[in-house]
Amino acid sequence: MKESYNDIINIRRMVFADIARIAYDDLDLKKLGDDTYRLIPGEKAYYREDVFRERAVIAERLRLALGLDARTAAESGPISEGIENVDVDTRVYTPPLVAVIKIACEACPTKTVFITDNCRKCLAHPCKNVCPKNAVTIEKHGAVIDQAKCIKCGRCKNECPYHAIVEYDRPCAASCGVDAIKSDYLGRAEIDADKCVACGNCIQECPFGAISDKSEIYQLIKAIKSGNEVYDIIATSFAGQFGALTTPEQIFAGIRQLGIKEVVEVGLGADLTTLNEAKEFIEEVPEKEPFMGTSCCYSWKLMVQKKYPEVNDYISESSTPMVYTSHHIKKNNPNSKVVFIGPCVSKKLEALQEHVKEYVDFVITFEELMGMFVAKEIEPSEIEVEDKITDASVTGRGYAVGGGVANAVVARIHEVKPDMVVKTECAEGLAECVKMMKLAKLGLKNGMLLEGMACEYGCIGGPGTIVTSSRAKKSVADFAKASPFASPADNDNIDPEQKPR
Amino acid sequence: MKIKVCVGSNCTMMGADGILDSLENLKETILTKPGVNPAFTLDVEIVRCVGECKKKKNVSPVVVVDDVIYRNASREEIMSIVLDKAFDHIMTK
Repeated sequence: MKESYNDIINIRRMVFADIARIAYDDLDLKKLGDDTYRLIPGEKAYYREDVFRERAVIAERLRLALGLDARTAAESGPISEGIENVDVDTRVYTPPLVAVIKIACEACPTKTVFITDNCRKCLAHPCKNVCPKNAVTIEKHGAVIDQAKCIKCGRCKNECPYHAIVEYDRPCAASCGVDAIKSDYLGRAEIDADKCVACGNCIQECPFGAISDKSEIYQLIKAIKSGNEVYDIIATSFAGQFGALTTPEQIFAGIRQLGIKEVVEVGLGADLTTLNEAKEFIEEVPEKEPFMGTSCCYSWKLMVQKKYPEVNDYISESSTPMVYTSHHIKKNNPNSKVVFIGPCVSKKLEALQEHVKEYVDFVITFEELMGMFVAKEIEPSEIEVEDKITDASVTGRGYAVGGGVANAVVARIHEVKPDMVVKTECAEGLAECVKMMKLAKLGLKNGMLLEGMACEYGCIGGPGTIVTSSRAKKSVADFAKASPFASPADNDNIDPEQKPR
Repeated sequence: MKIKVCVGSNCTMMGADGILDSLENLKETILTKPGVNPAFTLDVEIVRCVGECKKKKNVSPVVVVDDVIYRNASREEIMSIVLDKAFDHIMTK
């Protein structure tokens, strides 16, 4: 979440709350067009140049929130087009899960160095003098850069005494760690599906709110309403997300009021991931594998698969906490449905993969869950609860913060082999992950445990979060401290047979 | 000055935490600088749903500044109210 983008965040969340309300109240999806007027009332534009475009964009957002594809201006017909296909109670959406809403994209220029009107046309004109491509000329009103010649070295920018020269990239592309943003024929952003790892960073960074992921909040609510036993597994980063006065226990109680049968911390699965990764590291590194990468962040794993296939085998074979936790539920309740609720867009993609899709029926974000609370007028902070949550250990709960996974695995290794020295490195943000892996491939990280997190600050910085990372970090730490299990090995919720020896 | 920031479901969804963050940031930055009225104090309280959103739709986030209710409060609006008061002894002259 990028907290200073108030309006964009609010529009996104209003759409989730609206779709949740439609689903809970069994309203007719064919009348979805009315909602564009409800969400964008009146005739004065507030967000964009005119109210018609505002409604057109929100219409596409509503469609994405139902799991449909965003359409271009050439394709847009009635808002309810194809809507009967998503009016179901099972997962329907298909990749791409992250897409540009073309009618909202302003086609920002790609990487550019240019001279603003702060140029004083000074006599010294160092900008011209330092340009290695002789691309700067002094014209009538000031210096001008010949964009055809410019190689974006930034020297002129650094020399200008008036700070009149700026260098920027389009925010979506600048935020993409795997260089997956290209341009279409109108200069608008387009996501290269071969490169994209669905981390969701561009969704947070676009200042026009023109990139969005699909949601399955509607189908989830329908699944609850059709009488399925739906279990929620909630990511370790949930603590503190739903208001400063809402305790983790109240969040669980609020979720149950939505019609969910039971809630389990994904920290339980994180404990299994820790146990397995520690065992694997002790057995494999450095004899059989030069280094080991953690396995919990799907965007990080996908990035390694796509960019560094030759070292892909060195990513831990352990399943993700989401998968272990879902196993735990489906083993005893084979007919139940499981929804993963987290900060994460890439989990939506992970849940579509073979060997995962049968365990995880739905994935939604904290923001989408908030929309459900608002639609049902649930105030979690006012629910009285006594039971403590005891699904996960201290270090399992720590997975949510960057460095937490490596910390958990090392702590476990030391329980088994107290004298073993384990060097770790943690990369936060996809671009940092790419850098770390590049060096690892060259053999410069041998013997190490490498933690990769596609989001800055780890999961608490994910695109589906509600509160700022600093606030979330504190809440996660407090909740971790409250765990009754110091070690994942002590976690008695896990079947002893499941724990590796 | 007493500010109550509602952190009910609607207000949290519509950015109450952002307002809290900006008030905390003011306390750590501008309000530590010389020139603040010595009589000025800022007390930020986090409160449960104050019920405004149940009376009328689309009013979140709600902030109460010295018993005056601000509906659809924005961080810039609340920050400027705080700073106007903190520096009122300079402004009025």
